[in-house]
Amino acid sequence: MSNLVDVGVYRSGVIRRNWSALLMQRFYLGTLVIAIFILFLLLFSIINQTIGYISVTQAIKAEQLSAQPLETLTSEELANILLEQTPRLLLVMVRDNLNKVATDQFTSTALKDGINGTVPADLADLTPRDLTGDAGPAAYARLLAANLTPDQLVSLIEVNVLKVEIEQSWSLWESLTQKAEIEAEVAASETGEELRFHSWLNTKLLTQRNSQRVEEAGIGPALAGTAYLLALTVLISLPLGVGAAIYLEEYAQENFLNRLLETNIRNLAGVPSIIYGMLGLTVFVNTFSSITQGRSILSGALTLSLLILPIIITNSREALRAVPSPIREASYGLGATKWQTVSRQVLPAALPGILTGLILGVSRAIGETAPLIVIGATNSISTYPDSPFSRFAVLPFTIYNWSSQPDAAFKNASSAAIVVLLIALLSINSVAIILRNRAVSKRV
Amino acid sequence: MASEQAQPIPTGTAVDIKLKAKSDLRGQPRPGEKIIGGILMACGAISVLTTVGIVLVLLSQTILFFQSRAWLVARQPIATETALATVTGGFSDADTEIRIAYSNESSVFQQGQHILIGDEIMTITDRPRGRLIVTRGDLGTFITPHDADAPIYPMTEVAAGIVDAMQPDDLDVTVNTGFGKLFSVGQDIKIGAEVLRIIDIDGDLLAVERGIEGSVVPHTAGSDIEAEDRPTVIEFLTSTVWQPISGQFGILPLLTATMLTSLVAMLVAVPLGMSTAIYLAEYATPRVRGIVKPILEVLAGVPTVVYGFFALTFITPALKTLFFGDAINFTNMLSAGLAMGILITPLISSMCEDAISAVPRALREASYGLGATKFETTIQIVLPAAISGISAALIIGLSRAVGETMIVALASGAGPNFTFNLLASAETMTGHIVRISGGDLSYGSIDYVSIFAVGAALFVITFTLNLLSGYIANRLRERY
Repeated sequence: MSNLVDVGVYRSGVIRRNWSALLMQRFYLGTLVIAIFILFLLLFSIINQTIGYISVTQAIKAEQLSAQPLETLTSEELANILLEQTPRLLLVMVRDNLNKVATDQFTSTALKDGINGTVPADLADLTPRDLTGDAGPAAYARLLAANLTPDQLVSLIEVNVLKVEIEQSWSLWESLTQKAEIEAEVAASETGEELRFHSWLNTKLLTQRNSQRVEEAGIGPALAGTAYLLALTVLISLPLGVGAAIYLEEYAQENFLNRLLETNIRNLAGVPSIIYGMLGLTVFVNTFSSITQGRSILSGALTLSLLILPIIITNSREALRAVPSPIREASYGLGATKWQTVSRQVLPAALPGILTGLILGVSRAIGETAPLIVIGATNSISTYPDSPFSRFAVLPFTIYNWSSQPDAAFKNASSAAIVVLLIALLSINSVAIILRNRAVSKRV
Repeated sequence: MASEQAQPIPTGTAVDIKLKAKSDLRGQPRPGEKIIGGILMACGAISVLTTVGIVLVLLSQTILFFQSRAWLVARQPIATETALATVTGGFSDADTEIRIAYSNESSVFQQGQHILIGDEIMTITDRPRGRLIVTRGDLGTFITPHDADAPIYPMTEVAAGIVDAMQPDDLDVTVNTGFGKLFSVGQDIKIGAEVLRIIDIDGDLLAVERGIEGSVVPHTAGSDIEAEDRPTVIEFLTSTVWQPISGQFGILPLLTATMLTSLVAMLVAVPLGMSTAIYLAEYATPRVRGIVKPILEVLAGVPTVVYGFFALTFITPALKTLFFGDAINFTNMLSAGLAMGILITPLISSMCEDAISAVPRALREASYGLGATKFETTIQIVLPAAISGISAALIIGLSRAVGETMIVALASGAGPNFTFNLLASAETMTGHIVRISGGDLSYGSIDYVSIFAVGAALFVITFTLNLLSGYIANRLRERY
């Protein structure tokens, strides 16, 4: 009898073991929930900073300038307000917004040559130097009215006449939960602060240049720089990456050299991006500065291309490998050469996969900041990039720069810029997903 | 019916195969094909060139760094002749607080100043009323107890200078008393624009070789002597101070900060990533996987600068209000590490999931057949079978954490700090490279080449980790 299993002990063991199995299943599920929760926390903390109350002070109230709200006025009326309030600043406004020649030549160039836009006929041949006394401001006001949108003029009025300054900002969460306290605090202030509900993500942010003052700071040139940089990066890295993938998949023999190549690509994928930045700084910025003009978009694009090459090569190889070999054999059977087979049969069939790889690479490149800081992206640039050789600002660097500013309001502006970056990233990624799905459905 | 079937094939449209290029069929190689093959190979070779380029750049600039030299005026603290205060009470070896009886005005001592009591040199770290808080036994002196009424001599930094005027044919330099120990044989020194090399030292008398660089010129008495400071490999690897302005290049403060932030990141990412992977591979239904995998991919795709922003504006304030209060610095290693952990969780999770999914079903079924629960099967059968892939994933995750830049640049602090306190701000290797290169560096300056030495160390660490991960994945893999 003694070697029979004690049923009671056996049972309790099973129950205990089943309990611990269930417990661990809950634990694993819990970690998963935590991971998802963190993503939402991340998104919440960014959105939270993007909208909320701000308190502003201003030199003059908008009502004192015009009976109607500024937004409803025409360009001429707005230009007249500028003419009345700040006649001396009009020349600078024209130069900052409409000038198309070098800054030091602007005052000696005829307006029809120096102005980027339409110039009334009676002013066309005059230079800013000819316009003395009261004639100058009046002429500049006409130029501004003719060439700027009402929105642009309103923002000029806000900056130069109303002198709007953001004193304090609150997050969305604070704005919703502590509304009464915030209102009380603002009402108690002695500087005549005014409370506004403000979305940091607005057209001004998207179009304006960067500035030391958070009220005027925008990401226009940075957005353009990012777009320019990515376009160049794609132009450089796509042919190189696809070429390397074709070589490794279709041409390479199984030998030491090609094994080395494969190992090398795998290892390159693990090199920290900042190391690529140092490579780019030495090779592209300093050694070949006669070609790349130093800290230029081209240097940045070359560096980013090297950075995303391993991603493009790996994904393109997978896409090429997925092309069924009967397609190749049929092509050879018809007498096509290797290159004819590759270029006319294999590449078109692998195209969706290759594009997916490219987009993965681009979405890596769009957020890269460290190598571009090393290469010399700058935030002090206020012009839009006009050639591959111009210096550049990029969106992630603007985010980094604004986040490290001591002024708390820059954190809000920074979060708005992050939203722009994430939207760009998500839209690029969704293109990749659509391409992938299309490729899968075609194969079936 | 029959007539339809018998319809003749229209002769006018017969397929007329023209053999335009007969050479194709004879299989003669075309020159174009070879060229295309060569071009494609060149594309592949770019990646090898990249590696070679990285290694060459880091190596050459690091060599330049160790060859570069800075000239620093040789100084040492010298006690003034009159004591300004005396010790009240007396104090033992362990005391760091001296109660003093001022015999003079109260502001005679400064923070950071060295003082001499007996034979021991101390540094003043704080001076509350009537007391001095000091660090003991500085500048190579020994900590000894001191009696009551011991005089306190304040010390001032005095530059080494030549005592007698030097003529072009003089081969001896006499430095002021007690300064001989600042120099070493073989060291270069600079007086005015002339560089001299020390060939022998006898107390405060230096025998020199003249005109190593610059022309041999006379020097007036009292001229300052600048000593060469060349960063050495030993100093680089062992010194705990990174302070380029005073010629101190020790990588340890940067390295410890990198290791601490990575450690915190791994403490977050390993449990989170691995159990997420186990859940997805072993428990989740296809529908749950379909929802969760894209979410993890989104987490992995968020740019790192966004995580830096998150750490700076969310994690740090949250830690401050929830746990640490004012003990936590505005920038600190803990929040940077936490954000980095979130960043590498999806990476570890997806690699671990691949490794777990690769374990054959038969192993699991055998385990279930023996009566094991799902948990027991996972822990005792599946994980050991997937251990090579899992360890490879963890090492890759660590390597990623070590090389991560923007999170630590924003959230961990700007300034090397040799500390093991996670709540303190300290700069990592990558953070330092970004901060230094963010300013306008002059090409070839010692600051410029120093970041390449740091970069080389970073490259060696991450490359070793990557190789190790590849090795483990290949060698320890169970083959089924």
